Amino acid sequence: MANGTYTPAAARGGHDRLIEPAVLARLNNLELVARTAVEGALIGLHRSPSFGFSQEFAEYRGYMPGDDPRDIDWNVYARTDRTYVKRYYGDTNCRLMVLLDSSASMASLAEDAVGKLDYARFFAAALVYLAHRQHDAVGLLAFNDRVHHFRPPTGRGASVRALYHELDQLEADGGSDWTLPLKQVQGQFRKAGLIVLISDFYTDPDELATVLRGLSANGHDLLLVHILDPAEETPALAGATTLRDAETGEVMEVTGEELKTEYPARLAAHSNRLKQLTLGMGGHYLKVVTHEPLDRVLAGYLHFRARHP
Amino acid sequence: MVFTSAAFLAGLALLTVPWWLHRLNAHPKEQQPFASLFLMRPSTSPVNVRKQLQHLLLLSLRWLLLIASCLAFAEPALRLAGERLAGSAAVPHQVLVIDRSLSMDARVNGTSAFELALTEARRQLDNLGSGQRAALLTADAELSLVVPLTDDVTRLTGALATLKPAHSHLNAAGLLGRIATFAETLTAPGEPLEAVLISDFQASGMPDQFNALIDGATLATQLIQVQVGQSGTPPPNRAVTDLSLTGEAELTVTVQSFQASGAEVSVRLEEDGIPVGRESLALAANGTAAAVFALPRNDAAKQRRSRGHSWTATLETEDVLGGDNVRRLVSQATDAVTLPVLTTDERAWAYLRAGIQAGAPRFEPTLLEALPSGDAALVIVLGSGALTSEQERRLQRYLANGGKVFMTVDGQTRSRGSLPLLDAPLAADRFQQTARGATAIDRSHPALAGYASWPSLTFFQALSSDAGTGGEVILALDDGTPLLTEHRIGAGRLLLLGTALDPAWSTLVVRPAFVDLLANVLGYLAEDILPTSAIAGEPFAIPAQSVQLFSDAGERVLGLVDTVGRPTISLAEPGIYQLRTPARSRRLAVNAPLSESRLDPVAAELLSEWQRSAAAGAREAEDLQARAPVSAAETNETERLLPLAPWLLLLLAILVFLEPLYANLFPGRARETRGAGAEAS
Repeated sequence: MANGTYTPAAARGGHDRLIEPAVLARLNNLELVARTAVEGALIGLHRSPSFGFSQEFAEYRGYMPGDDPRDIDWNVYARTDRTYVKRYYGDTNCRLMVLLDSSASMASLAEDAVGKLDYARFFAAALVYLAHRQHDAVGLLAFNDRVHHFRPPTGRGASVRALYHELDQLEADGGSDWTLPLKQVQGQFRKAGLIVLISDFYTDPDELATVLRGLSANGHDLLLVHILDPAEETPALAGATTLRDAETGEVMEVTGEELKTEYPARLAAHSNRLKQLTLGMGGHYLKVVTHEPLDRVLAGYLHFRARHP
Repeated sequence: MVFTSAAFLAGLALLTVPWWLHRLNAHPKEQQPFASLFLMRPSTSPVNVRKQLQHLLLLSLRWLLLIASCLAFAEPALRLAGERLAGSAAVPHQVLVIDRSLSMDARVNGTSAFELALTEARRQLDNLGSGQRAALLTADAELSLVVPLTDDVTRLTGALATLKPAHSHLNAAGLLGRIATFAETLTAPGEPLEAVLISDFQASGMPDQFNALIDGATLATQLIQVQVGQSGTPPPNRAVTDLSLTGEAELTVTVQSFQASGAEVSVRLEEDGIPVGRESLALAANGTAAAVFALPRNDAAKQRRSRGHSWTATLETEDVLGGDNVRRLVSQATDAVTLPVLTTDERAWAYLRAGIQAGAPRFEPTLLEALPSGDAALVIVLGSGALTSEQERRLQRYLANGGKVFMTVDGQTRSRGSLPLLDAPLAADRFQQTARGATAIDRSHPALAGYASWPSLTFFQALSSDAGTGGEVILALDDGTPLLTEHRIGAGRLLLLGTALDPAWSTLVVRPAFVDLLANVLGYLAEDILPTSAIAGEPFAIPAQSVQLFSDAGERVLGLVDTVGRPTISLAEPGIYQLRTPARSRRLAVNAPLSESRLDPVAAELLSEWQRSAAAGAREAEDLQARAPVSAAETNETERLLPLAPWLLLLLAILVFLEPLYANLFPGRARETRGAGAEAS
């Protein structure tokens, strides 16, 4: 785990109360999905989570325009007649921003299976639930070839419920362009926090890294959640096949040999490259296949974070 | 089988199964959606073409599966040539055919053509190769098997020594066809054969048209000509060509010369074995001369002559061919034949007597009230209605024992209402107002021989049976009413004339046709229509149901067993014979065929052309035989059948294994994996 990746709990002989993604998909309420997954994950951890956010008191400072009036410590004001606001350690470092890729490639390859976008929204919702449970601010940026949903980080319950709703409304469509969302995040998400990128990452890792380095330089903690479909990871197609790109509509004839050996090797190399670049930037890389139980993945990640804050 | 038959339609439906199976997975142009082709590399060769080829291969596999199953159950077999056939193909067996017609007896300087033919046949036998077999046949008026196909040369050579020339004629028309047909019966089908025909190839034996020579020539035949005397020059020959009575006591003998120079010849005549005289004739080159002999007029001769005579004319001067130097002639006995007639009709009796006197004077009609106790050649009943029951009973017994009856009807028959002897009720009389003509139904019947004047006759009244009498209709009225019918009763025959010998019934009795009819009917029933002369080897008709033939010396030549049911017979040896029927006995003169006397050989060019055309015909036949399907029965003996069904079943089993294997591994894999992917998801 020292290298910044984790192994699923099941692989480590973890708990056996796993919730299949297909079961979660049958729950209509995304918040309920998130809660179910998180609670399942927490049961596996057998202790409180260490999510990277803290409630520990740090200092008082004078109130400045723009600060939330609810943060004013009225007891201090009563004693000193001055307005101070409480500062916690987590307030300065632990804001969660979820960047979710909703391009067409995230759609399900099989009609009756949990697609990558579904899995991504479950995972995002779980993180949001977990952060909100710790009273941390959470934000969402959903994009494909444009940014179509953006919600700055906030800790208000109404905003979080709206966020669930937006997550629920996402549909896989269009192409994917990482430039716009990352620039937007870089411009509007100046305070250091945790940026979670959930995507299938069909882009050049080096180009992606160029943009991500800016975020990393700003002090953001990066988590790349690389979601893959099982049929994508190991194509079951045999023999020569004609494939159609879900995003671009491009048609390509490929050989059985390509599908069987060359493409998986290339995918593995691509994943490794993403991982190397992420680790190089001090971030974390999480590769998830959509048939893996969400709570196990989540528990594994939390367990990993607990050891590597 | 028709296209609408259930089996055909079911077969068609069955054929669609592999096509349908193929279509299930044949989606070569279908595109599989994939998240991103970002990491994919395109194929360097077109995938669709490869997939189509895979599907075509699968379709072929499925079709082959179906075809193999159909063929396996049809139990086909591969025809393989047997070892014996293959080994013998290079050396055909020989069928030796030796002409033994009369001309082969032509002898020059002590050597006959037949002896030359035997020498040639021996040479052929000596040249037989190892494993080669030969058969021996003779050809004259007919083909005769002497020795069947054998490799025993000693037997064949021994058989040759027993052969002698015959006295019959060999006609070359269709001869090769007959030899080929005969040869087919000697061997198994497909066994190679060739024929060797050894003959003098007389020009007189050749047909008018060349095609007749090669008609049916399907067997390779080698023609070997043997000839006595100088090659190309016909040997000198003379023959007695005619012997005929030219007056009551005068007989003319005609002699013909077939040589280039004239000669003085001597002819001797015998009557019943007793010399009559000898005449010398000056015979011109290729000319004829006749000698007239006066026959004896003494009482003994007249007495003999009444029983029938036989004359033999012999050319005493020697020539190359002796078989045609004798000619025979017979005359029939002139004894009157008594005809019992039963009638009460005076007018009919008068017409009958007049008709017999005019047309058949040898018959003497005698009016009787009852059948004679002795044998009668035939019995005439004029007016069947007058027959008493006793007469009818005796007539039936007479017929049952082989007797012959000629019967007419009359007014009393009409009154009686039925036909006596046949016991058949009469039909209504339909000729009161209208006259009818007559039509010959069976023109080949001896009773109608010699004339066709029946349409000129008019019939006013006729009687016939409504129910039919079961007899053979010979003559009928123009409305189909039987007029003259022949009935077989027991061993005898009844000729029934459906009208009376009365001008009130028809014009028959006042027309010449009546005389001819009587002569024919009486001659036919009395078995008097028998041949008096025949040619050796050529068939002649025997109208009687059965005859016996005896030589002049009294030896039986043909018995009843040999002639019963045979319309014709033939005699190989010339001579005087006795031809006996149950009722009659006649002499028969059998002479050598005159066509054999002319010994000119066929032109060498014609013989060459014949040989060439026969070989071509044989090659064509071989080609046809090679292409023609051979029946199972024929192939059993010479060919081996390799059953293909087990191999097809093996192929079927392999295909049954391969088909799903291939279908699942390649073209059908995409469908299968899509399903598996969905399950996994």
